[in-house]
Amino acid sequence: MKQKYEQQMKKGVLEMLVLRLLSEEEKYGYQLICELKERSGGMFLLKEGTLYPILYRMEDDGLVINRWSEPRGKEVSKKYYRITEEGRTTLAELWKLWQTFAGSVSGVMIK
Amino acid sequence: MTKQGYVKQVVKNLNCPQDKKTDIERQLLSDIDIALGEGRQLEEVLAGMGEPEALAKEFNENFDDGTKARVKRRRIVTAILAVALVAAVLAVPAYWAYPKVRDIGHSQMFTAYEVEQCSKAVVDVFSQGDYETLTTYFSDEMRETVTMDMLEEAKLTVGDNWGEYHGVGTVYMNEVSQRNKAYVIVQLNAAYENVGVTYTLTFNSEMELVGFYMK
Repeated sequence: MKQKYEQQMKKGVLEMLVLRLLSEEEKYGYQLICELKERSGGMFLLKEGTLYPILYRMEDDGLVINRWSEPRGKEVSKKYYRITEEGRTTLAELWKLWQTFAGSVSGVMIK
Repeated sequence: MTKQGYVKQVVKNLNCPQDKKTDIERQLLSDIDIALGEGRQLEEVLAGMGEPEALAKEFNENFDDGTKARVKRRRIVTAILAVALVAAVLAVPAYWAYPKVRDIGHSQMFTAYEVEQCSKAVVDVFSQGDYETLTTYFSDEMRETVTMDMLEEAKLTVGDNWGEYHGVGTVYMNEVSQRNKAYVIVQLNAAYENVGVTYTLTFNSEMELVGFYMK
């Protein structure tokens, strides 16, 4: 199968997945990429060029906010993203949608 | 490749406003440093991120429409201003030539009436969005450089919705010559329902438009 079709299908859930990861605690980009890969069993191999535009968009929409950490000693300065109240509301709505989504899709696919 | 070299190459190929470029540069450098801090090797980290041009391409594809529109608009305005600037530079007398700026009444090359009619026609045609007819007034160089999209975008930078065209006011003109080349620079104010626009048009001796500027 052409990779672009698979990417297209996966793209739809990325915002929800990123918000879910951020709902636990504030995280930085590299961390989000690693966690998503691990927790999805390798299904989501998110790259910087996809993740950061998503984070920019969600920030513009008020779903997340960022802060740069102060570098301490050898520790690198990191850009942390934190979910907002509106982000949590959106996450809940997306999750609710997702749960009916699979059923609706199956309704079309299975005859 | 060095860490800085890689990131610079990515940022160079990004199509986004400067503030985003700076942020992405900082972000990518931070990510690489984090990976190195975990004990990974630079080559492996950069290989994982992919070719810098490919990474930039991915960013560009995923930027939202607002970001893309901002970049496109800035580029179009820059291009139109560049053309207007070139025309203005051509029209401004060089110090070593004999600068002559004179009232059009004394002109050998232009008649006030013809210039006025032509200028009004250009503004009429542009206001109606009839870009095809507009380009018939252009010099060859203008026709090559200025596209329909650029004109549309230039209109949008002046105002979102100009409204109905109400016509032009007084037409001011000055002939400018340098050595053997004569130009006439025309300024006219046009009124629309929602905005007022000042046009600066530059014609060559062939009465072709070599400069088209609006504000």
